[in-house]
This record gives sequence, C-alpha cells and structure tokens, in this order.
Amino acid sequence: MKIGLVLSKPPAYSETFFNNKIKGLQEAGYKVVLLVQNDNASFSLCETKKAPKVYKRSYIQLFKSLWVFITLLPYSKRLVRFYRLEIAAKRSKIQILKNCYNNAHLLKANVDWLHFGFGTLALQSEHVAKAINAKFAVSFRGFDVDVYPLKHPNCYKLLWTKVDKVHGISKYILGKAKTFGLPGHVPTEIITPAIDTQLFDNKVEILPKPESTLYFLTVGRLHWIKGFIETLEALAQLKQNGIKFNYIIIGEGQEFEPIKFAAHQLNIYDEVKLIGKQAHKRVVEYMAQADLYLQYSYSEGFCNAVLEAQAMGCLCVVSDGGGLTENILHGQTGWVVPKRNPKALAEKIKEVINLPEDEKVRIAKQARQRVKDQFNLTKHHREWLEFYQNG
Amino acid sequence: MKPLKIAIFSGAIPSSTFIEELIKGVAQHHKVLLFGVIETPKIYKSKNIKVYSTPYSHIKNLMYTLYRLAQLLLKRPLDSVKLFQEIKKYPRFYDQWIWFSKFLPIVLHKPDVIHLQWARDMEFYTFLKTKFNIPVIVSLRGAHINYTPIVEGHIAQLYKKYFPVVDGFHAVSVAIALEAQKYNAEPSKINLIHSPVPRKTFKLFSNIKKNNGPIKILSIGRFHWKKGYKYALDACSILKEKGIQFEYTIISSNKVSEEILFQMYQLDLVNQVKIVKGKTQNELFQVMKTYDVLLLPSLEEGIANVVLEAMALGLPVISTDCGGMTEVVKLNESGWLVPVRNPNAMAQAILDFQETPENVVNSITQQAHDLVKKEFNKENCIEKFLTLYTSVANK
Repeated sequence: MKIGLVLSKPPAYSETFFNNKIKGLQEAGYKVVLLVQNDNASFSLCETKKAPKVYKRSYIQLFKSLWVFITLLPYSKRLVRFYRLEIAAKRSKIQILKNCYNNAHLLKANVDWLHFGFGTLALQSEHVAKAINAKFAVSFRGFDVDVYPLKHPNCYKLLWTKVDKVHGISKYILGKAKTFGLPGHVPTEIITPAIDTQLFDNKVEILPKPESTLYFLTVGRLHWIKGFIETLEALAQLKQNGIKFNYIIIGEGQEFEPIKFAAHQLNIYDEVKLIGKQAHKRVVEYMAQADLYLQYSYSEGFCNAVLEAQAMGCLCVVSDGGGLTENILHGQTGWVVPKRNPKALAEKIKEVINLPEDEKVRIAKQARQRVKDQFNLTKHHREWLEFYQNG
Repeated sequence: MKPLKIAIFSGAIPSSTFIEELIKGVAQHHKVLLFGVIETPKIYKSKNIKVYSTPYSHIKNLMYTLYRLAQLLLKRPLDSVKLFQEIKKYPRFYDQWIWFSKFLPIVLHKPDVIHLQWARDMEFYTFLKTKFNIPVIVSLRGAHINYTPIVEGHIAQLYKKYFPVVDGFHAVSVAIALEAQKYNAEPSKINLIHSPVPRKTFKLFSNIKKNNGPIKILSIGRFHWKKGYKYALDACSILKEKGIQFEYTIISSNKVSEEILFQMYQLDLVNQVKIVKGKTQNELFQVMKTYDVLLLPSLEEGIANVVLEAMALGLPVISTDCGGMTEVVKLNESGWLVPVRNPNAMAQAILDFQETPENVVNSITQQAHDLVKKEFNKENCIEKFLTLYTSVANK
C-alpha cells in the first residue's frame, strides 16, 4: 500500500510526530510519499514531490502553466475526470484551471491513500483523490476547524461529501468538525499526538536557580489563542500576594508586543522572560526544572508541549480550552481551570504550589505514567496502521 | 513679524487628518514646507504650502536629486559636503542613496523649524539639528511613546540619547508628557497642546433620551490589541450572564481580527455583538448619536479622539483609565471611568450608567461637552503651535 501525505512542507527534524508516523508506516511495509507545497532539501525520510510554484509575474506564470499542462498529458484521463468532477461541483472555469495547476503534483501521484495533514490543505483539492482512484483522508488538528471556518463559513461543505475518512487529534477536534458539518456516516478516528517517551528518560542537568523563587514555564508560539495575556494577569495577582516567581515563555510570534506590554502594564516586567525559540534539548531542560508548566490557552487541538512537560515530570496547570481536558485529567495528572478566568488560574496556581511535596510527586508520577502508557510511539504506529487498513 | 519656514514632517504626503489640519492652520501665518513621499496626490490651495517630495521612481528621483544637488552646490557647497559625511554612516550603498535623496531637499530649503510628527523618526533626522542647526520639535503621541520603547529596548535607548537635543516637544496629554520624561525629555521643553475636535460635532450636540430597550453600546476604532476589545467582549459575557439586554457594536476601518471573531463564538456573543465597517466622518457622527453609550476599552491611548468627539456630540462615555483618558473622562463629572484590563469593572460601569437617571446623565454629557469645547478647539490648538514654533525659531 502506498500513502501520499499532503503537507505544506516536509516536517522539520523537531516535528517528531510526523517523522515517526512516516517511519512507523515504512517499518510496516508501507510506501510513503510526501506531497508538499514548499520543499526542504534536508528532508530524506521518504520520497518528496513538490507542487508547481506560483509566480508573481504573469508571463512567467503563463509559460510555467503551459509546461505543467504538458507534463500532465500522460495523466489526461485523470485530468478529465478531475475536470468533470469540478464542473459538477459548479466551480468556475478559472478556479478549475487554477486547481489543475496547484494540484498537478497530486494528480500525478500513484497512491492508494491521499491523506491531507491539515484540513485547510484539502480545500480546492476535494476531487483529486477520486480522480486518481485513491482514498481521501483528512486530518484536523486545531486552527483548521477551530478558527478557519469562522472566517470562511461552509468552507468544508464540499469536502464532507467527498472525504472517505477523517482523523482528528482529539475528541474535541472531531466534535468541532461535526458542528461544522461533518456527517455522521463518514468514518472517523481519533489518534492523539504521541511522543518518544524514551527521550525523556534521560536525566537532565538541572540549571542553578535562586531559592524561594518559583519557576513557571510555557512553550508555544506567541499566538493569541495561547491565552498568554490571561496567564500574565493571573501571575500579576500572585505577585500582589507576595509570591516570588519567574515566568519563562519559550517561543516566538506575532503577539510579542502585546505580551511584553501586558507584562509592563501588569508590573511583572522583570518576572516575565520571553526567551524566544529554543532547541528541543533546551526546552526539555527547562521543563525538567520548572515548578509548574502553564498552558492557559483559549483552545488547543491537543497540545504536544503539555505531553512533553508531563513526560519530564513537570506539574501542569491547563485551561479547559479544546482538547486540553483530554490531555490532562483534572486532579489526577494535573489541574484544569476554566478558560479566560485569570482569577481562577491564580487561585489554582496558589493551591498547587502549596500542596504537600508527596502529593505533587504523586500527580507528576501519574501524569508521566499515563503519557508513557497512552501517548507512546508504539501505540501511535499501531493506530495509524489500523487507520489505513480499516479505511 | 517675518513669516517663518516651518517643515511639518511625517514622512508621508498627505498625512493624517489632524496633521493636515495643522498644515492648513499654520500656512495662514507662515510658510509650510512638506518633505517626504507623496502617497496620494493632493493639491494644496494655500500658496504658503510648498511640497518638496522625494519621488518613488528611482529614475525620477535621480533627476530631482541631481537638480537639487546642483542647487545646493551653488548655494551652500559646504552643506553638501556635510550631508555626504552624514550619509556615510549607512553601510549599504542603496540606503545611502535613499537617505541622501530624502535629506537633500530638507538641507537645500533649510526650514527655520522642523516639526517631527513621529518620535521614532529622530533616529534618522536628528542630524538636522546637530549638524545643520535646524531647531527640532517632536510630537509625543500614542504608541510611539506609550509602548514602542517598552517593547523594543533599542528605541528606549534612542529616545534617551536624542530627547535632550530636542528644542521643543508637543505632548497630546499630560500623561504622555510624564511618560516622555522617563526618556530624558526635559519638562520645561514640553508643551501640552490638545488635538482639536471637528467643529461640527459641537453643533450636533443634544441631550439624550433614555428608553427601556436593550442598552446600545458602541466602540469605534481599528482592530488592534491596544484597543482592548477582548475586555469589552469579556464584559459583554458578564452582562449576558446577568441577563442584561444589550447590543454591542464595533465600528472599525479594518477587518475583524481572528482573535475577536473567535472570542465572539467561544463566548456565544454572536447575536449580541455586531461588527460594522468604517464610515465617513459625517456618517459616523450621525450614527454615534443613535447609541446610548460609547465604550473605550483601550489599554493605551494618548487621548482618544473618538472619546472627545462623543463628548462633543453629547454621547455618554465609559472609558478605561489608560494614558491621557483620565484628563478628560472624570468619574461622575464627564463620564464613567474604569481600570484597564478589568471586564468586571467595565460591566459594572455599564450597569451603573444604565441606572443613572436621565437628568444626571444629561448633566454629565453637558459637562463633557463644555470641557471639550473649552480645551479642544481648533483655534486654540493652532495658536499654541504658532507660539511654540516662533519661540523655538527665535532662540
């Protein structure tokens, strides 16, 4: 069986999640081909095919289009089928031409499954799988079903009628897909992210830290959905209660300005350290020594960082946004606080840092064990094999 | 008194509404020189306004620049040498060329005063003072003072280095004047000049009439984190939970941000919150009068124009206490004031407003109107600028 994975670009080395999925499939005798929009020369796990580039200058684009259509000639049957399906869906001729061009690399692929790694990637490609006689699978992970349909209502209307199988990374994500129109008869599967728990077994060196100062941590893009502002508002309340802490945020992104300004306005400028992107090894070290890992997002598909923090034995306080309630079991493997409520978060943090040491150890151990048992790569590999076999 | 040559510099021609008003006002008494890039062609009626632009097109720019350079070489050859030395500090040839073509017309026409509208431009234009001895005035407004130096450390350093060189500052509020002092702006050089409110808003003033329908709340301003709409929606959620009937409208010139859209859905406020596209000023003033109250949930402001306009029109205002807002919105005198980042207080203020009897609300809007009329009229404002320019030029 050959599986075509559609991604925007090949997974980076740090995206263990995708890399391991590919390795697992290959070990089980599957062939995998990556179909991407942007290339990355350093990726060598499997064959990679790139979408035709879109040019700004119209004459180059015209020339390139002609060439792409010539290369599609050997696939003319597929092209005709694709065209007819698009016409039947009442797409405009211009849009169909664009779609032929943008999907050229997919139309040439010889695969049994065409699997789009992100919901929005499948838009305008809904008919490709049928045209090339492959099965059509789509993964939903977060933004694609949490935010995108709010801006583009009914964007998945056509997709729902064509897709053969849908993968969601959490119950929450599949539930969202259903509220946005995923019909009940389409087979679905929840496969949560997994991490290489062995990576986290190694003892890590603990960096020196001043005594009596607590050490909080969040890892993630500086994006509004991560709820950093509410986190800072909660921490400002802790400071008013005389609690000494440092809050380290690992990650970069668009929300740098509002976060930095909030830290200033909330009088915790010195306590909040935005240290940018860090190598994965460093991230893990920070997790090992943090007193608390905070993930007070408005919503998360599932959240790998929280899995990693648990694997490192770091206590987690998270919001009830999206898939986080599946990631952390409240009171058993961490604590879940209602989202968008800085006061509640502050109260919970105070409660947790004042817990007796053995209670903290008990929760951390349970969390670590659950990650090992339920979010390991072996299980993840098996789930993906079954996903395609039972399709 | 001999008319002065005053450069009002924002980098773009034409500039924002307020700056264009200033140009027009000053041109009645002095020559106004405009430098920068023409973004949309505009014809200035006054003969006192001279535009010396730097063209976008490189070829056109080269011709202009050569002509200007020839003039400068004839008039003041030493100045061209000084200018060549100045641009040497830019490492790339391309930057040297761009900056040279921008600086050259200013050096050539040598204004008696240059008024930089944006403090950040000091990074590039302070040499006009230090090398060419042209007095510099800098405006202190909004984001450039209130958060840019906090978020970008090197800007704070820049301000600390250059503010002591400046001959005069124009501050839009007392709060911003205080903020600027953190970066070595000398208090005696800071002049408080309020931005004027369009005159027609005063004519549109009328008393409010309370009705029993859902309370109609309005916010105006683009979607940007500093506008604090997130907190307004949190407050809406509190009102909804309390079973209060309300409608909240945001009028914005740009598209709704993802964050706010998501929040509307997550808090289930889609039926209560309306997002409306921006309008022309005249339309806007009419629309504003159909609401019960204006809400300013901002995290940072100089003094928000939209609040001043609402006050002039007689629309009650609930504002956060950020930046210079406390200088105009005074609790139970001219409006309702709440702390920043506090949805509970915001929701409570809306309830308080709703429970305030009509006659009390009208006495508040009257006071607000009078305050704005007194402090934010155009004549006053231009007068103060003229005084500032002459005092700096004659030093």
